[in-house]
Amino acid sequence: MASEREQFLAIVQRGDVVSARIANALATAGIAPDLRRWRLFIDNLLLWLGVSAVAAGLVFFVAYNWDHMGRFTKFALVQAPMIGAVCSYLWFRGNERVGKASLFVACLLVGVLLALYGQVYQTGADPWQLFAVWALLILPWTFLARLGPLWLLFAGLVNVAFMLYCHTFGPHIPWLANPELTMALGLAVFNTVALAVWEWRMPSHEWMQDFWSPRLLAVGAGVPAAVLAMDAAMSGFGMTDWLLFVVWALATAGVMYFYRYRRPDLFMLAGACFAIIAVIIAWLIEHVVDHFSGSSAEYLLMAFAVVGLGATAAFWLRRTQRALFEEQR
Amino acid sequence: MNGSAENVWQRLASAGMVDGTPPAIPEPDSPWYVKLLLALSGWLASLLLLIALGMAFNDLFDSQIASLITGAVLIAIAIVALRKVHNDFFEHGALALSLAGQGLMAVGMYQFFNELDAPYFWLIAAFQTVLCFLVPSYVHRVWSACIVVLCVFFALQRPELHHLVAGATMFGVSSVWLNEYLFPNQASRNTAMAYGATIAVGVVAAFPMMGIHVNLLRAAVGVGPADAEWYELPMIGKFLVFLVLLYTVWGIMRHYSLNNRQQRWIVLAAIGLGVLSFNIPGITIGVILMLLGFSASNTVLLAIGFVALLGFFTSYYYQLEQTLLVKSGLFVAFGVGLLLLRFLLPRPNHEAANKEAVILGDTEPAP
Repeated sequence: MASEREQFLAIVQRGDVVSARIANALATAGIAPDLRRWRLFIDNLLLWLGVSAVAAGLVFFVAYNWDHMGRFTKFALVQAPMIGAVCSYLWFRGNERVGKASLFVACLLVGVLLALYGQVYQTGADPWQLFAVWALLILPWTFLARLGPLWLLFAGLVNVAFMLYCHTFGPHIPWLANPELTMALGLAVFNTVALAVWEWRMPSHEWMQDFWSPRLLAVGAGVPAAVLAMDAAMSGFGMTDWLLFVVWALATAGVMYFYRYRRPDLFMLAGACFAIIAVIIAWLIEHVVDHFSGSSAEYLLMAFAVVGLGATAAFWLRRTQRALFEEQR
Repeated sequence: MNGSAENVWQRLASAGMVDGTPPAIPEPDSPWYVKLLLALSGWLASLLLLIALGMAFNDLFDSQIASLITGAVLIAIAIVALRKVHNDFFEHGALALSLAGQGLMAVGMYQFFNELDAPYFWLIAAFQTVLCFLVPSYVHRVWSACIVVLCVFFALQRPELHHLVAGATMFGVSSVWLNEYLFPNQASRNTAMAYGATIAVGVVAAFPMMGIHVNLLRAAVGVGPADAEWYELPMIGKFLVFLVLLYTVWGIMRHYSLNNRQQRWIVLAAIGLGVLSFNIPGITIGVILMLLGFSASNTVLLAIGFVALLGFFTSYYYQLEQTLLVKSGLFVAFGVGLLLLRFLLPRPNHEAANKEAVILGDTEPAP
């Protein structure tokens, strides 16, 4: 559906509202927020920007090379605000926003504390362990807080821990071409499961009903999945490549069906189009362009292919957008 | 935030602000991610096209006249196609042709000046400004406006005036969003240019990590010190950004009927925020964008402001001009100051606040 902003623009363009009355008309149409909404927005902005800045300040403080400060002082400087944040959560439980913001800061400070512990005692721990333990330790608070950004922080920490683990040990599933693909497979599987759980629980939990959390998880799942499919498309299609490609194609089709008919979301459909275009281009580079190698024709062909695929995707997305517009009227 | 056109019209009609029949419900504009798809495919296709042209005509890039003429012809074809033919394939192709033409013209202009100095960047900026008005494509305008701001930034290096670019551009961006509906027939062009300029400001000022890249680029093209590692706004630049924050708050405030007490609180809060973030101007820029986005119910602008803030927070760590201790002090003072400000300001209704999540919006316009 055309947004209220677009509808308002159409009204102003037709000259129904004179320029001197635009501000009033915006307020009357509900496009310009009223003073109550402004107060809430400013309150939220100051709260979240304030606690984020304090947490970031503490991170920088710990990272500074303190030669003259004792280890206990350093720990106290991190633990005191962390305990303060937890106390603030308990104190402000009636004020849900302040309580949640406090718990979010406490979760960030757990990571600072772990980094400080590793720095002071020279544990020799790999960075992946820090992120994995961090994710594990904040899990109970994450359940308690019922806050989307905190779950995304948890998912992000698991992603980072797994990537660092792969860089350190290079686990290699034998039927995949290289360790990077093993990492991509792990990330794709974890984020897909996280997305599926989010979509499953969303209808019954009000705090999960935002539009950007599942989108971020979908990007986290879709990018590594597309990398796997692109590798399969460029690898000559052995048995494993076919298997990976078919699984990816079925998953992409499932995603497109779900976000077209069950829970319409054009962003997800556009992401799927991106992935499909990338895989087709990869296949073209490997299997078609080689026949023209060294000539300008291959680049011209690729340019046409890119334009054609982009145009087709844009055409389909616009048509889908119109269809959704009609369905919602 | 959503409703049918009749709803918007009815709300205005019931307040006696409009009468007669409502206009036709407009076709929804393509969302930003569809435009991004268009931009990326156009950019990639133009790159491939340039390579193909370079391979087919060996002397094309060596001849100033040939590259200028070929570039101009490609851009002219693109403009005609975009104006005359309304078809997805041609629109994509035209975008790719125009970008390839711009690449060729940039090469030709370089051969004319033979150095990457102010006159070259001024010429590119002027050329892209003309394209902003001539090429009827939203994505193209975003691109051209971004290049204009970056070229002006480079062109002003030698007289040391480039520090003013972030503030001056933010002033322009803020003016466009504050007066979005004042020129309704140019709204699409103006907002596209505002988005492009915003991205450029993000590159030069709000994202310090990108600022490093800009400095490296400056060093590479010979318009900046070779040892530059960090671009930090000097005092005058920070002051300009501070003034833009006040201008933005004033611009929003004048749309509301406020009593003296409310006006005093808002001005004090804006000055407090500006003073606290004075030495971390990336945060001020992010806050300005979020204020503009919220005031216009523009979730994309709101999200750009949020991303600018997040980007600044994460990349500020690597800034080398200040020690971690100084940065830590700045952040803690800023954070505590904001929480104090929040404590001092008149409080909203908490129950309503808990029910209504407003930061970043929990809903977006349906597709």
